[in-house]
Amino acid sequence: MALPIAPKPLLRRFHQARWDEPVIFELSVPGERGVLVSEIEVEIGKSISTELHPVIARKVAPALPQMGQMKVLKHYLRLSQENLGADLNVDIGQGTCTMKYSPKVNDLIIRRAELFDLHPLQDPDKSQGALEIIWRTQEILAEVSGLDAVSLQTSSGSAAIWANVAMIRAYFQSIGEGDIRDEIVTTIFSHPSNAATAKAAGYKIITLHPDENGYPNIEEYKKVISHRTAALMITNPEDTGIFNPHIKEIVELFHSVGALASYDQANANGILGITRAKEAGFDLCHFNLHKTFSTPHACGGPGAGASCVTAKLEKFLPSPIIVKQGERFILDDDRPSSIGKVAPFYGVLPNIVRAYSWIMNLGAKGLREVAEVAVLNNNYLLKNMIQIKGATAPYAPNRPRVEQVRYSWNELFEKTGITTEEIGLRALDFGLHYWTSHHPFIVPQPLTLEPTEAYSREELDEYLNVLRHIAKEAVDNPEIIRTAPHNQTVHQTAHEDFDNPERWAITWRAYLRKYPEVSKRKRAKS
Amino acid sequence: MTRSLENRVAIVTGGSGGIGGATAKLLAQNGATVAVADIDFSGSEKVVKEIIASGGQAKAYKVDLANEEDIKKLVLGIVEDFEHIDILFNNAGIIKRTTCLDISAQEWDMVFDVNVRAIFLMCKYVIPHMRKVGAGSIINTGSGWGLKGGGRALSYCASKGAVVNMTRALAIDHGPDNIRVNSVNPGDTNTQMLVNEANQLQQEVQTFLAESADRPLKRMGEPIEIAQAVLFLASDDSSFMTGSALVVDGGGIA
Repeated sequence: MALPIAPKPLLRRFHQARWDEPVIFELSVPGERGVLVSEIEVEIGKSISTELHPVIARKVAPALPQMGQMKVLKHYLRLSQENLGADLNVDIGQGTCTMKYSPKVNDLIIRRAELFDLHPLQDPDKSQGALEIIWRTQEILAEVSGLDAVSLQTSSGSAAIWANVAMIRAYFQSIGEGDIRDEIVTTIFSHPSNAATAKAAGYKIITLHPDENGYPNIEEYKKVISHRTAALMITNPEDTGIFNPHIKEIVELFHSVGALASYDQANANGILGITRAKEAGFDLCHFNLHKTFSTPHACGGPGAGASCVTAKLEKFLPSPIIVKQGERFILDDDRPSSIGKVAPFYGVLPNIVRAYSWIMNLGAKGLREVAEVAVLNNNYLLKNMIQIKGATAPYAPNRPRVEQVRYSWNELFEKTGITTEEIGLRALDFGLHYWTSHHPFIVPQPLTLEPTEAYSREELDEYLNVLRHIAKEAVDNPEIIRTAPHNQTVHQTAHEDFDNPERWAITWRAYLRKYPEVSKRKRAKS
Repeated sequence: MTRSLENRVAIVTGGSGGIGGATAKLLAQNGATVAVADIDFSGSEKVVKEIIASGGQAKAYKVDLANEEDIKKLVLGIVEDFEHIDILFNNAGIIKRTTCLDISAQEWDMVFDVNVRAIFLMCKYVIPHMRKVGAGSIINTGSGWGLKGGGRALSYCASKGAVVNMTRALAIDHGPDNIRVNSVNPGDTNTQMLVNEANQLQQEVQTFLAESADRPLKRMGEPIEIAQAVLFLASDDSSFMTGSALVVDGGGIA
């Protein structure tokens, strides 16, 4: 007799694992080993010196945990089961990060010995393949942006933005306007790295706020630009997913006072093959290979950043650059105007290879399709999200967005007192998460969703069903949200502990990093 | 020869640059107290440090000469610190190496704001103080390109032409106040500005600098050589000179 099969409920009956796993140092057993290194053969041992040079010979054994291999494997598998993360959950909630599929075939490619076993200080004659891949990826991104020269030296988007700011600064210093131009203009919805890197470079930051359309009116730019302006640094579309249609006019405005314009293209996923930095008149732009171009985000990195510039700024690119000479690829370090190195070596090679492979797999037509599907997915989500009672998409009503949207739960909050953070914690009970927004919360009670092209309609519907359900719970059963999460590894954590090193520092070294005066006092005493 | 500028207060705008810095130091060596004014404050402080280390007196001021309020504040600040002003060297200037086709109206305005308007405003706020003293010497930095035309430097040539002729007009207006006004007109001088010009023109710096030697004395000038001319015009050695354009250019426009 066949047992009846109950239909699957609308919402996944998810429960995260709980292993109560200790930190790895607590699993250490003195004498236990993961790998037993073979003894040297006696004859070899007699003929070589086995003494380590005093400079590198340790006096004290390293404080590494001593564990067998199976224990190591179990430990990390268990930790992974206690997390949502890459490859596991429908990650459209991590807006602005462009959480798309990182094809596993690209992981196989980068593990090939010709790539994996390379050392960056190897003779360039022996690493021609790797150099060629970097150079080709540079050429592709030059075409994608429409600009003239590219550096892939950095390991993150923020570092690429820093490189752009450093090049802006170097350019004005080279033409004698470095001291006059000490202001940079940005917008509140551009990524904070634009303001942060500009400030680190010594600029005064002028931040513009949006009008009801979701971006600053061009008149606001006219009020703040002058002979003191070095550059515009702007993300477009911004984190609201709204594309500023006046971007070309705005860039012309900055050029008219002799300033430069730098395009933060972290949000390029919805515009590939549709609009470019060049046509908008930008002098510089950057891309994140770990966003638009599919490379993994890893543990907050390493990513890979691309800085793209027009011909007049090429001489300032980070050194060395990879140059094709005939059929050979060389590293050119003889560049007196370069801003120097902004990262070790030539770039994060594994991520450059992954991005190259992804791009070549898709081709130009495929890249355009990525953008079109990403926009379609986002607008499908948008149409359904704003039908959820209590959810709105502030700014630009009835206008489509590009690749992401910053929504607001403010209507729901005003009716029920339930906050966006609380809804986010309840979403974890269904195996989903979302990110709210950068600070400050200009959009009240925010959540930022970015579906990318990678998710199916069923997955988008799953996400919508969960948020729809929680929005209803906020009215009918708010207590279940206030006490969420219920199906997670842990329940609510006390956030106050995040600021108390007595609680969060699990090693003495970490504690001293927060309280360096403690170690200073100890050193003074001794 | 009376070169002594003892007890005299001199303002040098663009004082952190090559010609301005050299002049500030030379004036201080000759006894003047020097107010070194520039938009580059740390550069001005460097010049001031060197003056003080050599036994002179000086102070650094930050000013955006395109901003009238900044100029007002600068002059007030100097008067507060030193009570009187005797010498004004309007030296700050910028250059944009373009024809009319590659410069916007706003960039043109910026060149004129710093090179011309700032001289007018500095005179406007300083001359009343010179009148109180009953004497003064104003030196404006023109250029060989204020007396003859130059290529791919439209806004600069126009602005320096303005400087040369406004100098004459100022001399006419303020001669009766015993305030002399003259211009110093350098040829290519070995300063950062030449390197900046090469970069603006996207030319190789060494090639560009080599072209500067194309003049009768077969070399470019050194900042101290321009400073010496300014010292002459600032001191009583030039007591019967006003409204003149002193050319210091190795024969470039001869």
